[in-house]
Amino acid sequence: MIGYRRVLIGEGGTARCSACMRGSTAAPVFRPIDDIVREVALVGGETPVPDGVLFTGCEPFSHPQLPGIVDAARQMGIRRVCLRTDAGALSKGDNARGALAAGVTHIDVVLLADSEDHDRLTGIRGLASACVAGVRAFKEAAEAAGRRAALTGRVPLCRHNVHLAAHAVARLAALGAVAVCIETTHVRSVDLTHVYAALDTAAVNGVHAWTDGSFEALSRTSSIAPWYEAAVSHP
Amino acid sequence: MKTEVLKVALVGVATPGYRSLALDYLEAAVAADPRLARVATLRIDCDTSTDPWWTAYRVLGLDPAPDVVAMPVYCWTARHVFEAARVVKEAAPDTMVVLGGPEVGPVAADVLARHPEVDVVVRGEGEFTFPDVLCSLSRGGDVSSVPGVAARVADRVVVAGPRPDCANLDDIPSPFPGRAHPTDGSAYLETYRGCPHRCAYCFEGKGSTRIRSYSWERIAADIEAVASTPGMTSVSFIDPVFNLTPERLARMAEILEPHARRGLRLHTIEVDIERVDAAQAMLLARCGVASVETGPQTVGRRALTACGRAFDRERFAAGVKACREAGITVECDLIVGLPGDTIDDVVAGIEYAIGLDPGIVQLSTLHVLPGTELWERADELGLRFDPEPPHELIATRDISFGDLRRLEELGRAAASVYRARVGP
Repeated sequence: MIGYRRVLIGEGGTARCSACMRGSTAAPVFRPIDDIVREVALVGGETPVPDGVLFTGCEPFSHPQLPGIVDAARQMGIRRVCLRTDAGALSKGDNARGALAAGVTHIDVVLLADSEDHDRLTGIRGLASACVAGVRAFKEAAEAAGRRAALTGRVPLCRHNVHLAAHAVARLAALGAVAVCIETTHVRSVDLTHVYAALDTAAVNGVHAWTDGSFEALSRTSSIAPWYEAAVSHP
Repeated sequence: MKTEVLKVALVGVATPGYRSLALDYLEAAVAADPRLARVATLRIDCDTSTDPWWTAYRVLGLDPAPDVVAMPVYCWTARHVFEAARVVKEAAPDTMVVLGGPEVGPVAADVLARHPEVDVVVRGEGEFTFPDVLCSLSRGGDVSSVPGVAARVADRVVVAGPRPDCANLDDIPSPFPGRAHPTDGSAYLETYRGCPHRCAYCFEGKGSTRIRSYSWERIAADIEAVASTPGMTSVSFIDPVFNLTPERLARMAEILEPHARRGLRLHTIEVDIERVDAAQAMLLARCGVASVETGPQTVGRRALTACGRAFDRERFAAGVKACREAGITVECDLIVGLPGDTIDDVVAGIEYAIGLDPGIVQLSTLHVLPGTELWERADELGLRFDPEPPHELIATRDISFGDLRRLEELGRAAASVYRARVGP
């Protein structure tokens, strides 16, 4: 199946709930490119070569050596390169076209809520509108280049945004995401109805959704989810 | 109805990305029929992306007004056609509405009973029945006695006797030589009718495995006419199995290779992939085939049995590999909701298809089509579907409504992520 191997390229600096992160260091730490390339080489040297690699851990467009990292994956014959990103940087300059040209085939967009709620939760003013503009730029660049690019989403939930989960899913659906992972590790059982609403919002918008860190009860309402995770491993 | 000149509007309603050959064949059949010298035809091409009222608007705007409006109907276009026909009939009650095609032919009497706007339904192949209908109309005769039609007579539905399928396809006038061709650089062709398989969900074989082929002279002439059209770059053959026999494929390669060398490419050619080996893949490449379309539709044993399909995992995989090695993209099709399939079977099918790395994986949900075995046996097999076209599946005995929808989304997501890659 489509197996993405997860490779950490740093830590911190991703779109996360600022209230939950209070007190921890917000500054990202970037893993040196040599380390990353060594890990990618190990991945690329496997037989068969994994279908794809997912670069995550920090906002990838903040990593000063992202082009070299993506290129290393491509040089190893890995055909799918996914970046987990807040997508804001894709709205700037030539980033979207450059990312595609370098070999990025898939973006996994992290969204906590829609519009100003996303800004408020992340503590980054204008991030939501930059995300929307970035995704659009990426899609337009792919279309202009005649390339097929995949868009998926990730909605990390906590007690500060669980009631906004459906809004985030609806926004991702409107942007064209084909699948959304709803992270429920930090969701209390009392808030499950919001998760159901998010799953239903995905379903009626034609988006496949599943929960990561799910409750037992969820597998009964989203019965495909466990198979999806097995079928399209998308860490 | 008896007029000086019988004015006939041939109205084609296409779905975006697809085009039916039916109207081309009907147009050619009418033009070639010496009995129809006093019949004037005018063609209108529409598609389902526009409102059916605009289709009606174009018909009703014709001056002089047509005596007959004829429209081929497929499950994808049926709602549009019925709506347009209803508006036309309301505004111009004397206009005779004639429908044909797989969506209405097998259930002609029912269509006439449920759609008062429809006057005549042509059952089965229309290339001889439709000219007979026009001939009868132009002479003031009784349309309902024409073999192969069902018609409304006063308030009754009269079903005439059947018309056998045309035994010699060369008797069907070709729509290609000397006629205007589409200018978008692509065209459809057929070399035979019928299907060697009898899949329960498909109307292609119409319950028979009989194959009727055009002569090689006719095939070569049609190909030459289409391929030599200026700007033509892409051809799709609608033959249900392009590699029907090795000998036939070799002959097609002989005919097509010169055109392929000039850049003509064949897209979404349906093949029996389990019969494709290195030699057949090479022949396909010589034909200029860029992409083929194939099953497996399902890997579930119960569904395969219920649908009368054979499936050999190893041979299927070998066929995909042979095509890929010949530089041919393979589109693996899967149908969600076949009788007997469970959620596990559908997911196993997705896993299997993607695991072959064919190039494209496409999932679609079952449509229970009129005239198919599944249509006849739906209750017995536990299929719940929308009786209105396009007859989408609502639920099966093994998969709920919600899970069918979620499987559609899973399939769409998996196919999208699979296709987003660098390289072949």
